[in-house]
Amino acid sequence: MRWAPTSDARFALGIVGGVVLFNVIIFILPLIYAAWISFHDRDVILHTQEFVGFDHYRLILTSAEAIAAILRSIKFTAVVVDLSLVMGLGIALVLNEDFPGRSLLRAAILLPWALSEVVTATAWIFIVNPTFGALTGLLHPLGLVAANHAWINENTALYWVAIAFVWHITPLGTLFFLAALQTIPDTLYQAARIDRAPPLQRFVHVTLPHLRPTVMIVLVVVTVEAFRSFDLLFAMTGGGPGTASQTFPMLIFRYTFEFSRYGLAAAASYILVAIGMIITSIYFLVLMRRRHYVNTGTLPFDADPRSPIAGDRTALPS
Amino acid sequence: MAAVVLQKLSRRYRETSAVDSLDLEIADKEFVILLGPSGCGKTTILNLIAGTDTPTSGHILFDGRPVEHVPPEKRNVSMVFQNIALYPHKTVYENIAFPLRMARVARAELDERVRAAANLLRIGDLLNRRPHELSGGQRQRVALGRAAVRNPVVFLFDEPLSALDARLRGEMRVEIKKLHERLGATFIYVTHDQVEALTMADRIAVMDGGRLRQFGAPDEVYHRPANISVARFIGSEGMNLIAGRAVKREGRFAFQGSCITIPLDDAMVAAARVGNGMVTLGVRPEGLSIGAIGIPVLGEGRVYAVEPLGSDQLVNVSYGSGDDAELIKVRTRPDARFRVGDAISLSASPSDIYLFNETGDRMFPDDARA
Repeated sequence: MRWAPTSDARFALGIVGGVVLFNVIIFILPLIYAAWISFHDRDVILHTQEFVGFDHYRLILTSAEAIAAILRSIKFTAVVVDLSLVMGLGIALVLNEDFPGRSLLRAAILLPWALSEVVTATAWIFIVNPTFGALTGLLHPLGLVAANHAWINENTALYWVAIAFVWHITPLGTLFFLAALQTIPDTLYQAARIDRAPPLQRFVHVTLPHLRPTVMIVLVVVTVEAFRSFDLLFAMTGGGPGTASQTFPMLIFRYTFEFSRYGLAAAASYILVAIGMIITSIYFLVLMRRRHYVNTGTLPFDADPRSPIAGDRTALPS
Repeated sequence: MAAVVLQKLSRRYRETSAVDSLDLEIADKEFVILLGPSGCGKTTILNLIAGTDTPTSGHILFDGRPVEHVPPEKRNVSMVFQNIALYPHKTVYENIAFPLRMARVARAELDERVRAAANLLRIGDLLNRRPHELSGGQRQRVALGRAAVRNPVVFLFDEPLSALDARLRGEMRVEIKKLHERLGATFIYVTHDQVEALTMADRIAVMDGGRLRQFGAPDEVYHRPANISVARFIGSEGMNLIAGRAVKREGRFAFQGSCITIPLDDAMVAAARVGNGMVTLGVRPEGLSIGAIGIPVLGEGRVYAVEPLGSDQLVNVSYGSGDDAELIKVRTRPDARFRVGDAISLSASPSDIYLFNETGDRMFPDDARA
């Protein structure tokens, strides 16, 4: 086949087409297949299957065990999102300052995120181990806890895995915030100082408005990460003690690999996705009611707001 | 309102010196423009006065009170930035109101002052817009409004017009000059545009390489440039500068460039006390005329290029050829016709001739003959 000079579009189509095909095979098809499974009840021993419609969905949404797992997931996510957002922003603000060794610290801060969740879990198991853990080792000599204090129990397990997950996920938020902080023009801070705004006011009037879109991104990413998180929980508590830290993804895992209830697991997975989407939509509705702009009017070359290079209309959906 | 005095002010960054032992006295209510090429340290001076930068040594006095260790929020200065730096998420009203809110001005007074500032700058109908909804000129007016809304001791301007197109720049020049008249405040304005400097300033401080080259009224820096860097920088075309030496030939002194010889009169010789040292001769494009009418005569050259400018035109005349060729610009009437390659004679009256010594300082006309 001869490629005419005007075949740019065809060439582009060829390249995009490959990616689309790849995505359909590894992403769309399994999605459809999972939906199909969720509507059927399959017996792996007898090799029978039967169409059951929405029975699995109904079963999950009326099961006390599943509802408890969903609530646990929401609680876990809430703790993770709150803590990691505040800490991520705080660390980013510190790392945005100029001090010796800053670049080294910026690289080091990413480490917890680069570690696999299983490694993170293992490290935290050591930290909270009742007898030889670091926490007991630190606090027992001070007389604050007993020599074999059980850090992880039915009441605390969910919070400990949440804290471990915060440790793991916070650097991601820090990275986003740091990138956003660096796009804030220095002259805005100078202007605010000259307008006699004290540090807190400069943060409120210059930094925060600029970070708004980033807060949104970090919220969505961390929420999704936390809500579907499995590896760390599995490696750290396995959902226990009892079901104290059995979140919804943990329950889906058990449906699949302990009870071989594939239809039920597929239906539960769809419910997981739906809840994630609902939470994300709420963020958008609450945070993005007002149109928001980034970097407006600070570039010297965007004299005419109608010009295509005005480039300051990074409006996020209203 | 305040008089601003800079004493032996220096700012060094590791290896380089941005401002080098600068002395400058700016009177109360004066409009002073710091003029110089990029990187001459003028913006650094402004940041030092504003307090967003700290001097390595030296003093800054507001009305005799040293302020170099006072943070910017306590100096009570206003500043208009090159990139405008409006708060992007705030409306025009809130942008102008911000300094007053920080000063905890009561609501009724705040509203009154914001509207007064907006009306002064003719942006009263834009108060509910956000910066991205404004044109460049409107944004600059808002920035002026934010600076003017409180009563600072000093107004600082950091190349505020450089982002605007030529027409808007002309408009804003008038606007800023008017603002100075109305507010009667001390204005310190940084620019690399000598037109802005000549049209607006009470006095111009010409900067180069972190040093002050001349400080004087626009008329003075134009007609009596203290040295070569001022002569080159001031004037819409800059001065023609020819390097050469003074030589004595047949009992008379003459200036000898690589391709140009110009007779020097007794006054020039006396003023310059020329021996055989290196001399730079300067003459402005508008100080030259065509034809051998004036004295001294530059001799015959050839038309190299013609640049029509509408109201007048610039003729580039070349003397000599090859690497040594001297290119002299002459300003002429717009209707004079020249063809490239034509032979052409140039002359200048002695009062339009400047002589600079080896170190670049002006020798002729000397200050005693002013």
